[in-house]
Amino acid sequence: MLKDMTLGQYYPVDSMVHRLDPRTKLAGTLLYIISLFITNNVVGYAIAFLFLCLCIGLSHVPPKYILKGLKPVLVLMFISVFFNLFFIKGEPVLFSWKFITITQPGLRQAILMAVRLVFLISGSALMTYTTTPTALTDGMEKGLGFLKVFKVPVHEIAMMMSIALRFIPILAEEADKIQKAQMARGAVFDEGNLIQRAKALVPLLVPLFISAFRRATDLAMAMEARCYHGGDGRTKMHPLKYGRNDMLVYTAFLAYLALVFISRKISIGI
Amino acid sequence: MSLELKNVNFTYNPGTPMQQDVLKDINVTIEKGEFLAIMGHTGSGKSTLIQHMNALVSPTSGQVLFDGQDIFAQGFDKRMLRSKVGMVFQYPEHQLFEETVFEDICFGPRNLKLSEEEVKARAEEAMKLTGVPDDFRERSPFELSGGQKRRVAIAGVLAMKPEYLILDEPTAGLDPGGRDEILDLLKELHEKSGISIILVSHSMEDIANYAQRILVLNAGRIVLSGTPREVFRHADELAGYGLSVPQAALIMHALKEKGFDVDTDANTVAEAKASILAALAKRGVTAGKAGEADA
Repeated sequence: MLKDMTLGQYYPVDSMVHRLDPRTKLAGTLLYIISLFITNNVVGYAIAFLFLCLCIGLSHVPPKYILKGLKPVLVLMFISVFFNLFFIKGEPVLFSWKFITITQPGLRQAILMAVRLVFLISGSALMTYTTTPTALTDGMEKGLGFLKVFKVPVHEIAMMMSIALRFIPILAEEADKIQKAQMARGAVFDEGNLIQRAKALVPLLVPLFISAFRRATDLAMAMEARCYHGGDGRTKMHPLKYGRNDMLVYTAFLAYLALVFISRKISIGI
Repeated sequence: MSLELKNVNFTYNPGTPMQQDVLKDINVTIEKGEFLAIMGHTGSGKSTLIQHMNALVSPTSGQVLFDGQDIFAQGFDKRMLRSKVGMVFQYPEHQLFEETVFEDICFGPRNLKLSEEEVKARAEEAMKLTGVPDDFRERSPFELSGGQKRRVAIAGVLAMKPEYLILDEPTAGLDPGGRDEILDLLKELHEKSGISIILVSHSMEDIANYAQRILVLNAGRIVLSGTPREVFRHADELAGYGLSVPQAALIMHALKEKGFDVDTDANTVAEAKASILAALAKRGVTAGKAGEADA
């Protein structure tokens, strides 16, 4: 059930994008998201699309896999399109029937918003497809290290995140086992009304919570037994270091951002 | 009356780099009243195999037949199947959730939509069968010891009155006393109630002592199958699958090499003892005769 989710799951192939420093990919994703909000016309979106295609091509992740990952957010997209299409007022009106009116600005906004969402999600999904969760938290810890000056416990937050991420597959597998154990005793999870379904979850959640708490105490003990004392003076087994490719990618992103800025000035009437 | 797997294949994540063939061309028939053991190295597909038997996992290709009916056919009553083919998972912690032991045992039969009296009667019976003491009834299942939890878990499945009982490593993590208790309980259930037992285990001793038939699984294939005597003859092959033979059989092989005329098919301590005594008796006679000749 939980195993079928593709969005955000690491895709294990070797590529230039996979080997990049996680900080580069984090910063790149952030820049890409910002660029999507800067663009305001078709030219900008075309540039964003080409850039995304380039990144996907370099990453060796099959485009089919990325499209599959978009499925869970379809609902969100429909809602956004719905609101933009029917609630934006303006001129000229394209279609009007009783209380339903579709205007040209509304249509334009709905399409651009949907495209923006697709780009945004594919772009950030590409980062998680090409970066292991461990590398990602490492990147965040180092990339946000400057916040320590403001007494933000960066290391602790990163550690909590990586532990949480590490527990997701374990708990998902455990939930799967518990679900099967209860199904073997005749439990049914997908029948009946909302209240019956919520009640059916009790035999699943009780053992899951108990197991999660037990695992958490066990892990805390195991960490203390190995003298864990937080981030001060802690060294890394694989310290993050920028390479030549990282510099190249940063340059490419800056160039891309500049292009997007220029595209704002171009107007071709759509 | 049988449980039959026909050309069953199972693949995880087909068509992605995470693709993994777990089961390959499994063919097996389990007759009613049998005591079958399934053994194999970690990751050999044992757990996936048994989960096919009560429709918790559906095969990528192939069929599973219960009394000749395809259990994945449209309209097949899976709840009925799961009451007939009971499954006890490795960790009782995965199924115990109610406030009291008795309520937990009632969970299965209650799901079968039986009358409340019938549910209670079945739970009582299951508690007796599994030897769950009466004063546990109102206790929380979480305060029990490992062996007791397992008993309660087995009772919870038995209360559904299964014809086949599948157990995934029911002795893992138990001390020797608890282990013997659980295995003796299974033997008793098999002999007295005529329930077919399908036991997944790592322990060669457990299997040699209790099973009538053994399936050996390696990398998703059935590589050996037969009575314990037949299977444990292939000591070298088993070693190749990361398995071994019972200690008694190892001793018998070592004795044979030293020239003792013992039965190398002896797999249990009792059999080994009888065979060694017989061999010694033979030697005693020859030694005596040799002494006479010297004189």
